[in-house]
Amino acid sequence: MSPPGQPAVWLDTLYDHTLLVLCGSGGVGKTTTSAALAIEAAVRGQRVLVMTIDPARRLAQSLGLQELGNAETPIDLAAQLPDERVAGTLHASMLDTAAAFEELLDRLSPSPEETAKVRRNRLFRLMLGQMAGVQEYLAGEKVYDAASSGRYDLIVLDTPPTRNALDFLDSPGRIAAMLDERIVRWFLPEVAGGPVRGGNVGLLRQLVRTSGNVVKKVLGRAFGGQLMDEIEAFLGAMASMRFEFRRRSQEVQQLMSSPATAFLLVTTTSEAGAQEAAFFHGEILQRRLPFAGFVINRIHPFIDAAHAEGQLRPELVEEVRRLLGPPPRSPGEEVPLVEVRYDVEELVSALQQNVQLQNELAAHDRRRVAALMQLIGSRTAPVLVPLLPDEVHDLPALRTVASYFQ
Amino acid sequence: MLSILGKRLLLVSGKGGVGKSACVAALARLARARGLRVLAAEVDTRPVLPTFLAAPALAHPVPDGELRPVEDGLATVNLDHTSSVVFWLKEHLPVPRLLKAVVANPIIGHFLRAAPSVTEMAVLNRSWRLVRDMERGELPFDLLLLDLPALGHAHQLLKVPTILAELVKAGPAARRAREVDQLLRDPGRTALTLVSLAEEMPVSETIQLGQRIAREAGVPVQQLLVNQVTPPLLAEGSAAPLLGRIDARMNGRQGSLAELIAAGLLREQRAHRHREQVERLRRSLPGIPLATLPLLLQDDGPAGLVRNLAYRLAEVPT
Repeated sequence: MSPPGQPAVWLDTLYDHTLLVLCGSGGVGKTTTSAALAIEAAVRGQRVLVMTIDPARRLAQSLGLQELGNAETPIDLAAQLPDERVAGTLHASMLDTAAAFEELLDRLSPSPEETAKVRRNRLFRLMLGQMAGVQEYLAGEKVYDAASSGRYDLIVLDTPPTRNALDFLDSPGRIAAMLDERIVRWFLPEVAGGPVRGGNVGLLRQLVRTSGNVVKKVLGRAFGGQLMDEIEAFLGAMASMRFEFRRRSQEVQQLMSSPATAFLLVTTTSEAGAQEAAFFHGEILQRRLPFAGFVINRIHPFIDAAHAEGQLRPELVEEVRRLLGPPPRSPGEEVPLVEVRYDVEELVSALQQNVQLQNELAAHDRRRVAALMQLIGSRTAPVLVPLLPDEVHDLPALRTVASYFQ
Repeated sequence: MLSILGKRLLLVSGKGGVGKSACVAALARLARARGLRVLAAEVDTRPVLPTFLAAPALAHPVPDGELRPVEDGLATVNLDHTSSVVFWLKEHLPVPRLLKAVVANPIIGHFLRAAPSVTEMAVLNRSWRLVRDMERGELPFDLLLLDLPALGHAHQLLKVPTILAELVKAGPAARRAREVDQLLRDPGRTALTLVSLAEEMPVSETIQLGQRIAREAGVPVQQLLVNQVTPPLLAEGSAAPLLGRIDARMNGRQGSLAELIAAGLLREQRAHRHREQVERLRRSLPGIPLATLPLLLQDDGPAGLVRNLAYRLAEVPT
């Protein structure tokens, strides 16, 4: 469906990468697009992992699973696609934030005692799924682990539905910033003597302690001493892991900006979706992240334009009247379908209006696509995926979605 | 009139992509048309409400957190995290020098933005103050319409006062958390409206999170709006059996009539699926008023779409 004469996002080029990141605002079809691209790559022979955040249960089921969890689960594609030769493999996993955070703690923590300390903290329990950016950070973490495992040729990441498209890219930095050495020192005078270069350690320690006390006092006044105590205990528990945390978030950032990674922006032609997509495109470029192109979902298809006139066409009415035949008079007659009286003119008029509406929607979608492309000055034509008759949650429908990328 | 417009604080959320902000703008338009003075607020986002409400262009940009007038009795505001935290600090640190030192410190900024529950509490505090000032007659509005983040994040946001009130017993944050909690749990002053599409995923998420928000944050859903619903071809009776009969008798003949019939069948299928999903939502969240809105063309631009939605909302029987 791509406009002629322009290159679209070619699958062959896409599949040269080792990580595809699908971004976009909520409800635009990111999960569906991710699954479709992953299945296609697996059919073509790659070892693929699709990581999703919140699939509809039926999407999990469409992959042949009851539900997805944190574990990378193999999908038996060959059994589900008997008519196709499946040359590669597909695994799928879903990010369960709470479970992933527990895993992360076990891995990062220097000792079981430290882990237990974090777990006991009341703020930690509040923080599970609550602290800004944790889910996004963990998604990055899981991708990094999978990418460095060597088990996959391609990872397709369906990013979390962010409140703000930026959250996904910013969260690792934001968490690292909260565990900033200087902040930890305000709250934890005992670590002030950490890795400090130079001689006058005693003086520096004292200075940090003094300014830390002032900060604590001021924030305590604004939020209450008890809340600050909770935050202090939380930071204390996390402090032992902060170096590891920061190192890993840097690694995730490096992976995201590597040339082996490609970002795809998924959107629809809705007002909010298109605005968000244009904004996010700017952000991706500004951060020098590898941008591959747009996928625009749910484009209304054009129907035969001959019907798009407002006038009722008598020859259609006649043909429909002839095809329908007389209304059934007695029960059990040929096709016993309608009890109600029907008016052929009303029916044909409704059918014509329907085509007119669908074509107006189709024209609107194309204007929106053109406006978006002009707005962002993109040289790459977007992949347009038409609105499909049914919601997409079985394998044949996912194969149909992938076919629009060819 | 939709009874939710009689509240002080009208919260609106929904799964991403359901047209939530357009519905917020339409509710604002409708409330304004009914004589209410409306402040429509967004939470820490790139503002879309000024576009949806056709706010006049400004000579100077309005900073986040400040009111932007649209017309007499109608204004928007973006309750972003930074200005909401500064607002909180201002309330509690009356010494200007101290406040300036805290606000100017970038490390404290990092800390406050990332620390659990601080930004959420700051945004809810700002909303609470707007409502309080309205009730005291210090702010010339009757209704605060709050365009919350998408369902998952809205759930996290609305839970914060309850959790905080349990976690911390003393201090300004604890006190305010209890006051905000009281406002959110007062069905006479506060109502939550959820917007959905008539599709399986949005309906499932609306049911699940609607119940969780009511249970965990004590904010009951008082209105459901189902957006972009496809109406059936015929106002009365179903066209599907008729189309099926025509289709069968055409014996695979191609051409423009076949396309007309095929398009009609697709439309009927979609309308049928939408009706089923609307009924599922109604059954699963019983007793909550539900209104449907049709899929509308957006060719008059976003503000035109919003006016159209507002007309449809005005027709909702009470």
